[in-house]
Amino acid sequence: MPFCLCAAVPGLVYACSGGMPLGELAAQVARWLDERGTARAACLAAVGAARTGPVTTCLAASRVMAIDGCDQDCARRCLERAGVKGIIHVRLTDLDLGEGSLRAQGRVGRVGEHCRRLLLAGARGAGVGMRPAG
Amino acid sequence: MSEPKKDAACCACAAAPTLIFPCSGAADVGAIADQSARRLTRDGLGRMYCLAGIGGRVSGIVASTQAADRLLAIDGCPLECARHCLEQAGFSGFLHVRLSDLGLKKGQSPVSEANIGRVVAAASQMLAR
Repeated sequence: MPFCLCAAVPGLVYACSGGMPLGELAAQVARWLDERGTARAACLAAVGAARTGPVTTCLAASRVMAIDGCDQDCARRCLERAGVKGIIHVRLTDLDLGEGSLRAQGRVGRVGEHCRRLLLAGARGAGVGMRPAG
Repeated sequence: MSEPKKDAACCACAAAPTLIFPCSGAADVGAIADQSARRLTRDGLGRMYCLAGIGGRVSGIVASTQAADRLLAIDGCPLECARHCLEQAGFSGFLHVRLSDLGLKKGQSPVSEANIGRVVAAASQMLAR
């Protein structure tokens, strides 16, 4: 029986990678997850551009996570336009990143751990791990 | 010829920015494109914006992009997702930097100062024209 790669890929993660600092944090977290084998970082722009191969891969993924830096939710909306359902969505402005968090040491790892827990739980939204902001 | 009105100099439209859209893809070249756009923003040559907002047709982001003075797309690989993303949203005539044109190949290009510098230099040259 051929070895199935699907079982080895827990899911795909798409960061908004926006121009603001939290967009950069989203991109860093996606790479953090990729480097640890928790999820494979994939190209959101390819989905936004409706490139056939990347869209097919995305629709076939066991889990899809979108990490958005702000409440415009561009990554989520980009994926939804392509027909992706059941997106595990993380919005960084909803998380309690702490005082001066944009420069705080370890913020990528902290958010990364939060995302890892959500991915492993297969959760469909925030609420696991990090305390919401507010 | 009369002097320009003071108000005209204060109009934000005249200073409509250059918006920069890197593909920010998952591969090394996507990271170089992303980091280059952030560097260009810090250097004051334009402002990195949100390509995901174009792909997601987020109205405010699309409107701001339509109002921009000029656009620059930076693509990491030959799929040219940033260019396609902008074109499918109705944008045309934008500047375009392709990392493959600079000899940067996917999977063989470390996200180094040297490689980011090459892209920043090429983009700066294009923006200076």
